[in-house]
Amino acid sequence: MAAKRKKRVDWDRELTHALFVTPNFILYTLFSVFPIFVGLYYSFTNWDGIKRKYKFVGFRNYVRMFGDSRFQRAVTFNATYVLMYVVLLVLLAVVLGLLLNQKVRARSFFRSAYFFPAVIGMLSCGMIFRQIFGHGLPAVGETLGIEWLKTNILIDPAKAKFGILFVNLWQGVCIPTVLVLAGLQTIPAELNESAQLDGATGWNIFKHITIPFLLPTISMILVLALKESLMIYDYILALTDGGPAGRTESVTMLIMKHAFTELKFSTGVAEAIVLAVVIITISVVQIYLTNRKKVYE
Amino acid sequence: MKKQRQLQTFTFIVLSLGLVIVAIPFYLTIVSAFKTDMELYSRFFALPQKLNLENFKTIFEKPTFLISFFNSVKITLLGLLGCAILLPMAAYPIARRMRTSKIYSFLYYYMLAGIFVPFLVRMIPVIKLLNNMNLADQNGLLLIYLGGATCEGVFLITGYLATVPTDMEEAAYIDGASTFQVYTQIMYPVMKPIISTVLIKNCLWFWNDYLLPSLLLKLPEERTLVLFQYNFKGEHATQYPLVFACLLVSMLPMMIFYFFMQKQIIGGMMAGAVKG
Repeated sequence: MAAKRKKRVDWDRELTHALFVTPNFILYTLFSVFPIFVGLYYSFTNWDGIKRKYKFVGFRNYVRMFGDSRFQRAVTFNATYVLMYVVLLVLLAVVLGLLLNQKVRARSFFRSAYFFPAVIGMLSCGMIFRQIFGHGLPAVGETLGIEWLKTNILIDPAKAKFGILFVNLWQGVCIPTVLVLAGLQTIPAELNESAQLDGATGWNIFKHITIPFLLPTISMILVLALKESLMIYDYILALTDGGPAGRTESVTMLIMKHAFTELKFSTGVAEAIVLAVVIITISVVQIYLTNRKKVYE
Repeated sequence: MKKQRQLQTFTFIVLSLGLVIVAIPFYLTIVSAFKTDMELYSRFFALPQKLNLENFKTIFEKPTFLISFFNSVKITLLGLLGCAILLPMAAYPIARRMRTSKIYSFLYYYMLAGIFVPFLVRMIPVIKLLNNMNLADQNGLLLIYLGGATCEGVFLITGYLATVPTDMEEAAYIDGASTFQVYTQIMYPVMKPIISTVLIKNCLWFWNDYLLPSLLLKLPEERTLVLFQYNFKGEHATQYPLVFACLLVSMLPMMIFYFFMQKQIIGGMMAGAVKG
């Protein structure tokens, strides 16, 4: 059938297919691909974002960036933050996924409820918690006489990032939990049953059956969480706006400030491109590792 | 058996405790929205003493509130309409021909490549471009949304179509149907489940997005609800019950949506987790 068709060009099909693809091709090229090259171009200039005149400065934006103490601080903040977030998120998602996979009463209710935070916006979420950290927790600390709760942790330079981390986890764990839950369904029930009959303990089943089956899911969650926390913006904007004293300014936040409010457009774009290279490298490494594993299996 | 029951009781207790952490922010948002300023400070966690609707009245009386509410509805619906028409249209020929045609195979990888480039990098120059094109408004916003939704949408729909056999299409071609008829009458209905996944994911993005509207929509009459909510917080920084009422009002549509479509939303978010 397909071979017969191939001989004569089916113009109705060719034309319809081409017309179908065109609108999205144009939109995507114009608003998603072309801008990358525009950005690359500006990253080699000294354009402030407003003036008509600018000139080429070669790699100056890139070189200066690494000597800029504000950029270094943002990178340090981001690096520690990403590390804490990714580790805690994976642990929390696996634990919650396992719990929600047990045959407990009201299981479908629990599953729905635990997923609920995912539907509200990140900004709203941050704004709600800003009030809780500002009024709710100090009130609890006051009533119960707990000293470390009495002050707003978001204005404490040492503790502010943990506040952001908590809010981010509160909402960010929803989707990974469901992914773990989906991963758990791929484990054949017989496997668990026969292991139990053979007298395997819960821990052994977890180590030798559950974890191997969950590995692909975990690696996906890891990469998603890495990207997400490298790009963190909305939560910080709503919770601390980078404060106190720039202690929670993330790379993304710095990029946005450079590009749109501090008249350093070309610097901002160059920083964004460096961030992109980091994220692309992580994605490529993940794909490489996943494919290699498949080959050996 | 006894051990298993103990484990289940333990799980139930842990999950119930966790639920408190999930629920407290929502509880506080709802109760605080009905409180007075004094009440909020003195009794943050308590239920409101009486059902005080003043906060909502203040919000609804703001002329920009209804405008921004309808702007959000308009942008979300138009964006979803665009997605529902354009994405399956582009994905269908790619899915069916990427194995035999070099052009369509190129298009597949071309449209997929965007997943790896963070949205931020694509977006910052776009804002400048749109400013130059005099498109820094709702139209420009919709164009970026549609361009930005391409990677994920095409990826998900082509993935789905790879599992759908071509028998039905072949039979329809033999009966003399045109390509367009085959698409609208046979294939579009077949793609509905995955299209709804794509739409749910994008619905949450369009409705909750802050970054793009904040950079593109400068005129007050163009602003969306998220922007209204953020500016409102700036204007009434010390009137927290008012801010909570505003948050509640802007979250409510998605909360209702979730209540009725839980299964589809959870499924949709799972399938949509590939986004970069």
